[in-house]
Amino acid sequence: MSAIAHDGGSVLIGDGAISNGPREPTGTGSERTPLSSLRRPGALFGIAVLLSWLLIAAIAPLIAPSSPTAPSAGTLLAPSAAHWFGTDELGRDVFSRVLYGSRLSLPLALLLVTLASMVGSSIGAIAGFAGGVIDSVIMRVTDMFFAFPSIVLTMAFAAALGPSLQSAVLAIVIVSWPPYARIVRGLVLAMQSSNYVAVSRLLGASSARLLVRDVLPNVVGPVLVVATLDIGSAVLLLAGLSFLGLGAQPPAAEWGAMVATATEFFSNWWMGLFPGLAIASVVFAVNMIGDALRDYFDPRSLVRPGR
Amino acid sequence: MSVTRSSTTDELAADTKTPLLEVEGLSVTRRDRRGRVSLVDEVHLALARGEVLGVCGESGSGKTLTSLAVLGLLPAGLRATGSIRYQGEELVGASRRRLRTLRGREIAVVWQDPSTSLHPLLSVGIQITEHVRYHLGLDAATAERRAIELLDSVRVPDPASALRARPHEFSGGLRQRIALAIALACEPKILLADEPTTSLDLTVQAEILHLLRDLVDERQLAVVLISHDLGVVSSLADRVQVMYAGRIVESGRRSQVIGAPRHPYTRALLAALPGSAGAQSRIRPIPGSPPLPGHLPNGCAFHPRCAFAVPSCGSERPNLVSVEDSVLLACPVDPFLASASK
Amino acid sequence: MSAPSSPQQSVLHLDNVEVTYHRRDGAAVRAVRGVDLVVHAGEVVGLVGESGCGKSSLGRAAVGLEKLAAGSVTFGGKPVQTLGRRARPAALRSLQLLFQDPYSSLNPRRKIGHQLADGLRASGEAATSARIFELLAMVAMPASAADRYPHEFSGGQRQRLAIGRALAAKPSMLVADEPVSALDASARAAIVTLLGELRDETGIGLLLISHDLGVVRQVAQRIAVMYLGKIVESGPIDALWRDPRHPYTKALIAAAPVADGAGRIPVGLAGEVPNPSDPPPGCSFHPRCPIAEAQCATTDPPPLAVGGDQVARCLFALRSSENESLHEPAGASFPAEDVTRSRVRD
Repeated sequence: MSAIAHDGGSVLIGDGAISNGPREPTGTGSERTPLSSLRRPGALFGIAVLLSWLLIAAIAPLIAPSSPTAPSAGTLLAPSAAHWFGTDELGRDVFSRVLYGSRLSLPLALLLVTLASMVGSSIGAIAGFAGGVIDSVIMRVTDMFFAFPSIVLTMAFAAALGPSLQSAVLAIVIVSWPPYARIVRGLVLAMQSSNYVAVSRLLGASSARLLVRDVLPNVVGPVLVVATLDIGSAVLLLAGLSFLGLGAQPPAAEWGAMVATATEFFSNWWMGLFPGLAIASVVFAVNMIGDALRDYFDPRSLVRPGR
Repeated sequence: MSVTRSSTTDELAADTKTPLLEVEGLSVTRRDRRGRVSLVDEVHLALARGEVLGVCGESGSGKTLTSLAVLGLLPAGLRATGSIRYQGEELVGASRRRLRTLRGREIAVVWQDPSTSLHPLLSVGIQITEHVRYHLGLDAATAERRAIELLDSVRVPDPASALRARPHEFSGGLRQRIALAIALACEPKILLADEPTTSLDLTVQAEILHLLRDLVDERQLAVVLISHDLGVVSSLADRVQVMYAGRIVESGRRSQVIGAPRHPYTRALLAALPGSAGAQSRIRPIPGSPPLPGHLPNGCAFHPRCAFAVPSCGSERPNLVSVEDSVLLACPVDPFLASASK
Repeated sequence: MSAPSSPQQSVLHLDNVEVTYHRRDGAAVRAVRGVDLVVHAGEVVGLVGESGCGKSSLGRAAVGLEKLAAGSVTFGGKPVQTLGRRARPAALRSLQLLFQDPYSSLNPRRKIGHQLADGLRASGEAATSARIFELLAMVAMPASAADRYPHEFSGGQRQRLAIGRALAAKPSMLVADEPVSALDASARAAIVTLLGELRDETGIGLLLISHDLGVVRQVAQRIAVMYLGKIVESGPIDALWRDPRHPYTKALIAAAPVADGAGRIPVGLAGEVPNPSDPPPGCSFHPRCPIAEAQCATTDPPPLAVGGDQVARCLFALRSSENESLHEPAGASFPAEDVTRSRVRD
């Protein structure tokens, strides 16, 4: 088992632990940071796509050739030099609408996931630390949420709250927090019996300190991975709700709503294809990033030094 | 289960003379950003029937990689060059299919930790019978009888019930016996034992060592015993090889290498052990630590930590030479002559 | 062995300690069954036993990580409370525990320096870089280690770092649970030497738990041998080594392999450790004991003083030892069945 640390220029090596059978040799410590794990082609591509969309969202008003909401030409025109993605049933430039759509879908999805993950993680942490009755109650509530397919539940909440973008966001958050709660609770429980937490407690750490010092760093990773992958789901859920008329209301340029409308204009393929591609590209990008992050945070990759 | 015994002493002599396993110039390398890093460097070994070869060294010495190379089980990214001949057949570059046939059937292995090398969810019976049925094509009933015989031969009490149990229901010592039973199921000629008793209590370890000795004597089993524990190697091995930083530094008969060690590293290893029953000798840890692969010092790999180093040790890498009566030594400084006494 | 005239506040006193676990099916597993043990300041006591003897449970109970089913643990006269939801009282922070597994006792996602700082703050000290580097030097690790993560180090190095963190809290008493079992021979030697230096230089009290008598012998002054939840023999290390009175102690001594090139396999011990939830009646060692007689199955041996502070729980502890020298086949002493014999080869 070769030790891994390097001490600047001189070699720092280690007396070792006894091997436990065959194990993959790990890389040196300097290679394993979250940023470096993102250097893989898939993840880089995903980051590029995401950043591009964020950029587009920021400067959409500057680069969109026409208004997303006002008609600018004849209806149902096929893609051409004047209108790269054609026009929709009201004569609006689809290209501009797709560009503007990024201003809704992406930030909303990010917001959603941030809220859901924070709410869910907190609830899970409380359940894990409190234990006993509180834990049981929280987990039963979480189980109830899990029992329903997310789209059904979202629809129910969105419908109850009234069709608007805000209620769609709220509905999705309500439906998305349970997985985080479950993950974090599991992590907290596992950590409570771990040796390093025991050490912290022996050194006199209070529960609050334990939470911040020992639990949080270990929780951030898995939660981050789930959250990243969840962005894709959030975009899809949002699109789905808009598709059903429960999310963004016309004339807002939201990708999901655009796809919804396009179902009635099937032969005008450009109306649905481009917003659909936009959604797909974001989901794909986010999944690539999430995969790379997950590989980094996978506890199995923190393997003991190889033989 | 037949106990293979040579019927005549002549046959026995012939068996023990022809090496069963011959490794020559085995090197294992790994690809690195800068090129290839050497993990095992020109290792030779020969093993005959009924012989126990002890391979000692610290972590990172390459001893486990050597055995993995013999089995053809090197992890991805590692490459073996050189020659590994089993009964004359070359294994380096052999097809995966051929290696699969050999593994388990002719060359078996036990690892250090039976709780990870045994399947936690399958019963012991299935783990043994699956093995014999794959290699020997036995039917279920015969395989089961065979399994009971095997468990009996490794002294697992009440083998019939043991078959139905799962590994976690047994203690560490019993699990290791089960692992041995699985390894010996197809009557292999060679057993690679990588730290087989390291995770066991001392009294259990002693029992397992006795068992191994009996198995070697009864079946003329050839064993490669890999261990960092010189006491274990001293108990069981006939010949011993000491490895450091991927290279062999000393080899010879057990009484020579461990009883009268010549290489400074071997001597340092022995000095690091708690004393035998008798005087409470002070242990002396070896200063420094083994070098990382790819970062070996110039000259002799051990010289920065060596009490007998002379200036040339830092520039000339010592070759493994025969010094006397089957002892191979890679050190130009003979501690027996050195004035500094330890 | 002389107990230094130590301030009372550093004595670790275990009085009739019992630790019981409850299995899922309700069965009670008495891991520790009435143990008395005292560790004075500046003293090293070795607790030796094999798997299933309860030594780890005892170690954890000694620092408050396990609930006591009976008995009491006091440190410096004050009771050691079981760790609950509240932060551990400051007075107890000079009692620390070193874990066996160097991989799990360091938080994988925090830098070494931060974890060492935890230790410093526990003793009320400011966590300055200077102090952290000092600690690292004390355990022979380079200053650059502070900025690294645990997975960048090997087992032996991590164990050193764990020791550094324990020392940061300036403990007056340290319980070390198998600190070297997971390490190879030379790493083991280094850590054992380090512990010896600590003993000599800092006057810390140390309860060293190990299954390896040889290791314990290097550092300890007194030894207690544990089997199935009870201490079966205790006394000064030299006396115990020279003249063990309990058959289990003898077995432990005889089981250690000797690296002398002679090819002798050490004597083993037949049988298995009994299930702690179902201990044998009478003396719990009797099913495996080479000198057991009928009464051993009905009488639980009381501690018998053998002289010079040595105590053994064996009905025959006062018999003078037969001429068995260790490492030789001792005919009647060990069962004549297959397994327990030493053999000389070559």
